[in-house]
Amino acid sequence: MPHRCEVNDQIPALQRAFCEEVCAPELLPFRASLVEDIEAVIAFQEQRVGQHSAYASSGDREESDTETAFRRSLVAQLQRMDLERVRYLLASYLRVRLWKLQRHAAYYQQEAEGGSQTSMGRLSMHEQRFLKAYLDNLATCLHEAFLKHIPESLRGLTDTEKHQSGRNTEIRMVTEPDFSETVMAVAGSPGQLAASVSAEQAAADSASMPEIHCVSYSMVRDDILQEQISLL
Amino acid sequence: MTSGAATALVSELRDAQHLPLYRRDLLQRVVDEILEEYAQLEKGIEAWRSGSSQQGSRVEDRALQGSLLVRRARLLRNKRCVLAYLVNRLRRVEQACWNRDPTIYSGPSEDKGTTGRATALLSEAERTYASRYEALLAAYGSAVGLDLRSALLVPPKEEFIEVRVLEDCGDFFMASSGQSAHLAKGTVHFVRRADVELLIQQGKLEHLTPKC
Repeated sequence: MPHRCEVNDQIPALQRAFCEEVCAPELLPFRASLVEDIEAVIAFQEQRVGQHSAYASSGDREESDTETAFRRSLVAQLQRMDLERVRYLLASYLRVRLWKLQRHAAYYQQEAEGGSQTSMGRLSMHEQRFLKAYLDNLATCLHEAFLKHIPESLRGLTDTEKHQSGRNTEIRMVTEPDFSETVMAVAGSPGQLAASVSAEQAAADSASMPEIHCVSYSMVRDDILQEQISLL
Repeated sequence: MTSGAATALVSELRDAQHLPLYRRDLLQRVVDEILEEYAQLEKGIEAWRSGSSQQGSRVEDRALQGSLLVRRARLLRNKRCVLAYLVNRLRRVEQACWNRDPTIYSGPSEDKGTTGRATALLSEAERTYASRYEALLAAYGSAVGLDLRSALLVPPKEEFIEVRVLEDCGDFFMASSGQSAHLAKGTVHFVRRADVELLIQQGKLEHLTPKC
């Protein structure tokens, strides 16, 4: 009798989270509960694979059990393969977040110091620790290689260029994510996106595909951070 | 004072596909320029202040003010060039850490063949940065229970793969089976991918993809 295939909805959720993280120019809120669930799935799957492998490799069994052992060995192999794919997905999700965090590390740190709940809420505890240590390491390196050799008043990351007209230009060396980047936004429900994008654009886009819009990230940023709109 | 050294630093890095040698000489020249500019700037400000108080000609004041602003702009530009140079290099060092590039890791005493290159490629501060960055990645990996650098960079398609040994690895322990295999240069093995992923990333093994 065939066993019912148990569909795990956490894997597609992780796939979606990974895709959104790749598409969004800034870090999205960390999916803590999802990652915890996936870690539990991995632990459970490892246990199952271990059981199947142990049974398949044990030598002292009766003749009638040989077929069962073969079947278990096959199941273990398939489960190991599946396990590798889940691990790959989780590692990719964490890796892409780490890369984005490094790219704009000073920006996220400044946001966090500014008391922005959004910024701290979007980083996991481990990512917050990583960010702090990463910036410390970066600051030490820049100080040792260059900044300690120049006057203290020049060591900041924001300079003000003065003009004779009295107008001053602020030059910031802290790079920010490009919020004007174009993204493909998918509405959770019909008409949801129309409130965020301009009426003309929504009308133009809705002619071809009503639920997907090609828009600037800044227009849908709030909805994306609140997980009301997803990215494609 | 033409800021030529700062421009040379940035353009050299921009044109290089791989991490170029650390230009300590150019960087020192830029630092010297900055210090000299700064000293001149302070003198100029002092002169401008004393000139203003003595009610000198308005045209002279404007001229001095203009030259001070240009000097300051040049000084800040030099600083930004150096920071851009260093940060860009550090990003390439990070990338090399992710790729486990041996030319970054190998120290002068360990790698006789590339001693000169390894020594000059990174500055002392960059070497320290690289080792701390590696430790940071390892700490993050152990916290989340995954070594992100060893984890597969491409989606796994098969559990067992065929590999050719490009560099002698000696007896290699296969963690999944608990057995070891002798990986001699030029030999071909059929092994579990997870066991040898790290060696593939390091370029010691070549994954032989089946021809369709």
